[in-house]
Amino acid sequence: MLPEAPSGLIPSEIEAERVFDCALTQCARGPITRGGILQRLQDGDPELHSRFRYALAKELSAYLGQLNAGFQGVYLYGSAMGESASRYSDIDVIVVVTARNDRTAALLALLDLSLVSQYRDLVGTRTLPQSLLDVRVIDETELAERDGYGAVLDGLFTRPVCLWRSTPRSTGALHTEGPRQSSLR
Amino acid sequence: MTIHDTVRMDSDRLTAAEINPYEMMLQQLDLVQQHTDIPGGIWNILRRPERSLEVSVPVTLDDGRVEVFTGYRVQYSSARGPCKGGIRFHPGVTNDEVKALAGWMTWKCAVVNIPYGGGKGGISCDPARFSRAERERLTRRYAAMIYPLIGTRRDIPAPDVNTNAEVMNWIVDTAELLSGESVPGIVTGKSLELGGAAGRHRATGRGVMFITLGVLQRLGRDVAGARIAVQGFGNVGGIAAELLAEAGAKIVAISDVSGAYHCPDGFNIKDVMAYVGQSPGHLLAGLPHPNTEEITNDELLTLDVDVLIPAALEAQITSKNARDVKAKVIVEGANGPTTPEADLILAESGTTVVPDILANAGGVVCSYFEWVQNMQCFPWEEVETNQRLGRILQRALGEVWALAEQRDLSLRLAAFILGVERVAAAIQLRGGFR
Repeated sequence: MLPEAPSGLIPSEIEAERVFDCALTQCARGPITRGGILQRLQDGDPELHSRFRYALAKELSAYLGQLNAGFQGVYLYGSAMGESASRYSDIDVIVVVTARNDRTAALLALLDLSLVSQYRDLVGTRTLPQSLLDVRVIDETELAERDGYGAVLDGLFTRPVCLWRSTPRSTGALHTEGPRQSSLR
Repeated sequence: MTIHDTVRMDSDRLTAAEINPYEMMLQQLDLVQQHTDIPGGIWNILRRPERSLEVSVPVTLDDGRVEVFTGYRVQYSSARGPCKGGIRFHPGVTNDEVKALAGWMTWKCAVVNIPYGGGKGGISCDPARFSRAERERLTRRYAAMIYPLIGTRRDIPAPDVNTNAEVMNWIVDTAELLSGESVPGIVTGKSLELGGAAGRHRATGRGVMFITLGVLQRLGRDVAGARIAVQGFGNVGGIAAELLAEAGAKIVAISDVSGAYHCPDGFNIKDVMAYVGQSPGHLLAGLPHPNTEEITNDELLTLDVDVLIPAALEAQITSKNARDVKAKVIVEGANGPTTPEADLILAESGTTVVPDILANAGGVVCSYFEWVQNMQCFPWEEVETNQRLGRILQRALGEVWALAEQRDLSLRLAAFILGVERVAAAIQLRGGFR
C-alpha cells in the first residue's frame, strides 16, 4: 500500500493489477487472444484502445462499487465510447459520490497512479500518458441540482454511459432524462 | 406573459427531476404557441410524429451468442421535404427520446430553411462493448429493418452519438444490396470515397465562424481584434478558432479535455494546430506557446472576452457560473452548452446567446449539400460548399435576428418560432387529406 493510502481503504496497487487483468480478459473474447490484444495495444490500434479503456472503466466501476465508500455511480464518456482512443488517451469518467471528501479523492488519485504505471508498462510508453483516469467527481447535490458535471449526466448529445450505479432511480434512469440544455428559453 | 416569464416558467419545469424528452419538446411547443397564431388543428399535427417504427435487432456476437437490441426510427415531419436526422447508438435510447430528437431536427432544418423534414433513429445498446465486426453486424441488421422507411426521397439518416462515417458506409452498402441499385443519397456523413461531401468535416466549425462574424457585424463590432475564447478544440471549436483567427479575430483562450490555455495577446492558431496534429492523443496538453498561462476550463468560460464559443460538452454554462460570464456574445458551437437556468441569468445580464439550433447548423446544411450532390451525381468543389454554407447560414441568422427584434424575443425563442412556423405553413399549404 502506498504510504498516503487513505486508512480503511484498499491496497490500490494490488487492486489495480486485478482490475487490469480483468479488463484484458474482458477484451479477449471471441477470436482475439490475450496475446493478440497486447500486441494490438502496443501497435496503437484505436479500436482496441477504446475497447480496452471501456473494459477497464467497467472493472474499475465494479471495484469502486464494492468498497462501500460513498460511491453512488460511475459514468463513462469520451474516446472510450467510440473507436478513437490512442495510446495516450485517458479515460473520461464521472464519479457520483454521496458527499465529496478527501478520502475518496485520495483513493481515486492512488488508483490512477497505480493504473497509469502498469498501463505504460503494458503498452510500452515511458512517460505518457501522465494520467490514465480523468475523473470528475460530483456529489448528490450537484447531481440533483444539475450543477457542473451533474448537468452533463443529463445531456442528450454528449451523454455519458452509466457503468455502475448503487441503486436504480425510480422512474427512468439518468440516461433517459431530457435535454435540458437544448430547451427553449 | 413576457419572455422572461416564459423563460422562468420553462426553467422551473426543467428543474423538475426525470423529465421525458418528448414531454419536454411538447412543453417547448406550448411556449411557442403563445407567440404565434398557428391554427389549433395544425398544432395537433405539429405535436405528433408522422411515423414511428420500433424494431428488434438480433446480432450474433463474436463469441457466438445472439443478443437482440431494440432500435427505432421516427419520422417526425415530412411537410417540408424528406425526413433528416441521425442514428445514435446508446444504452439510453428510447422511443420518446428519438421522437423528441426527430422533432428538434424538424425545427432545425426549418430554421436554416433547407428542404427537409425531421427524423431520428437509434439503437438502445452500449456500443463500446462491441468489436468492430459486431458493430457492423448490428448496423447492417438495423439498416435492413428500417429499410422500408428510409430512402433518398423519404428519410435520410446521418451520424449521431456513437456513430460515424463507417457506420453510414455500412448502411449505404446494405441499402444498395437490398435495392440492387446505387443509392448514395440514402444517408449523409459517408466517407468521401462513397459520395461524402468535401468540406463536411469542417462544416460545423465553419458555420460557427459564419454565425460569429454575422453577430459581430450586427452588433457593430469589428471582427479585427475581437477577443474570443473557445472551449473545445475538436472539429467544431478548433476549426472555428482557426477560421476566426484568419478573419482577424484574436483567439485568447482555447481548451480541450487535457486543459485550457490563456494567451492575452492571441494564439498563433496555425502553430497550435501544428502542435495538436503531432501531439500524443492530438491534445493541447503541453502546448508550447509564448505568453501563455494554463487555466482551468471554468476560468476560460468566465474570461473577459467579446465572444465565448462553447464547443465541447453540454451544460457547461450553468446557474453556478453564468453570473461570472463576461462575454458579450455566446455562440453555441456545442449542442446545449447553456442550461435553461443559466440562459435566464444571461438574458438578464444582456448577453447575446446564439442558440445551438442555429449556431451549429453548419453540419446539417452540409449534409444537405452532400445529398444534393448525390442526387445530381455531381460532386462540388469544397470552395462551392463553403460559399453556399456561408450564404445559407448568414441568411438564417438575419431572419432569426429580425424576428427577435420584431417581437422582442431571445434569439433562442425566435429561432424556434421561425422553425415551427415554417413547418406549420408547409402543412397548411398542403391542404387537407385528413
